[in-house]
Amino acid sequence: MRCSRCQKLISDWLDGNLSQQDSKRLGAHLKKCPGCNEYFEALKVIDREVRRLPEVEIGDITEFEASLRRELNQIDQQKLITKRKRWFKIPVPAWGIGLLFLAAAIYLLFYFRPGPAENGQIELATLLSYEDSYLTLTQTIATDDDVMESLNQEIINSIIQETLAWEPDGSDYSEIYHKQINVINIDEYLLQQEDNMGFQEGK
Amino acid sequence: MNREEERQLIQQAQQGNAEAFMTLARTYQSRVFNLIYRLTKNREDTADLTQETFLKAFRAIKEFRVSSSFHTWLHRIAVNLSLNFLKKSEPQKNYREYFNSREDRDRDNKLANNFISPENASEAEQLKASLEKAFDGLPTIYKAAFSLVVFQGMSHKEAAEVLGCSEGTVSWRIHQARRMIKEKLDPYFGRTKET
Repeated sequence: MRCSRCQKLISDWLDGNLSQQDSKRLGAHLKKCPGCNEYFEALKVIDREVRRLPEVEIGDITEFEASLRRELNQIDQQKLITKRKRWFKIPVPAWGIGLLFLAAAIYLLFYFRPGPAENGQIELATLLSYEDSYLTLTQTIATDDDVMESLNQEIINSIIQETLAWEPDGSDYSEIYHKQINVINIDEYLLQQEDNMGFQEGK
Repeated sequence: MNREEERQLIQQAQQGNAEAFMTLARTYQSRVFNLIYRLTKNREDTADLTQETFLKAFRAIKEFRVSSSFHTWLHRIAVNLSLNFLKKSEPQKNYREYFNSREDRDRDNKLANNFISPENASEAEQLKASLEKAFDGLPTIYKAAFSLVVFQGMSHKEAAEVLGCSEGTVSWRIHQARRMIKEKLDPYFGRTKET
């Protein structure tokens, strides 16, 4: 152990802050080092004398306590006053700015409030719900051939009805076309068309 | 005052009871006064700083956690106030200045001569006076650590809490303080040995 380390351990030993292991190492070093031993003896004397130094008394203890009590009571009153007036101590400009922000927030809330749907308008949420229903319906239909066929027939009929209703200016449809279109059974219509085509090809 | 009584007084003081706090102050005022006096060496300043310590503690007592040590907390306030006060009021001596002051060296040599002189005051009184002077000349941070452990009887751990540093730092500062005091008093020990 180096002497500088030993001196540090001596100080810790004097404060009662030395582990048992370090105490043994210190003892071993002191036995063989006269310099550190001398330092140890000197420090023991110094420590003993330092601890004997007299304590200092507060001069006029009564006056000291009276003065402290006065000051404490003043703090106590200040604390209470502060607590009572806390809300009223907020400055007027702060109140004004606060109210302004509140009014602005209320205005924006009403301005951007989602209103009821107008005539002919469908809300997005409604559309989304329709879409969901449509998907579910198509998935159900796709699994059933009869329903699928029936639906296809309905779609074709509706297209035919819309086409019949659509008469642009200057259009000239043949009489047979109108007759064919008026036939609701699309199978018959298609067979007739095939026959016509065969007739033409044969021709 | 036992720990339970102290805890109750602290709780009452936390509710604004100044009399409860006065009881606590009465318990600790002497120790706080002595600690501050060791650092400032001036009675008037010490009285002012002691009062300021208690006032500050009362203002902040709501933030004090009852589970921790009131004694340590109070001493921390006292040390911080004293160190701030000393920082403003006087320039700090560093290690070299502590030993190189010609005035101090002359005084120590004179005292050392008196120390072995039989016609003067007792050896113990001389040593005590020299010790006081050697201690007073220490750097403030060493004095604070030394005072808390040696004069106030705190452990290194408690002193570390008060000073806001590690136990190792406290131990090192006290070691340095002892080494410096011992060097300052070497003339006495040297002369004693010669006789």
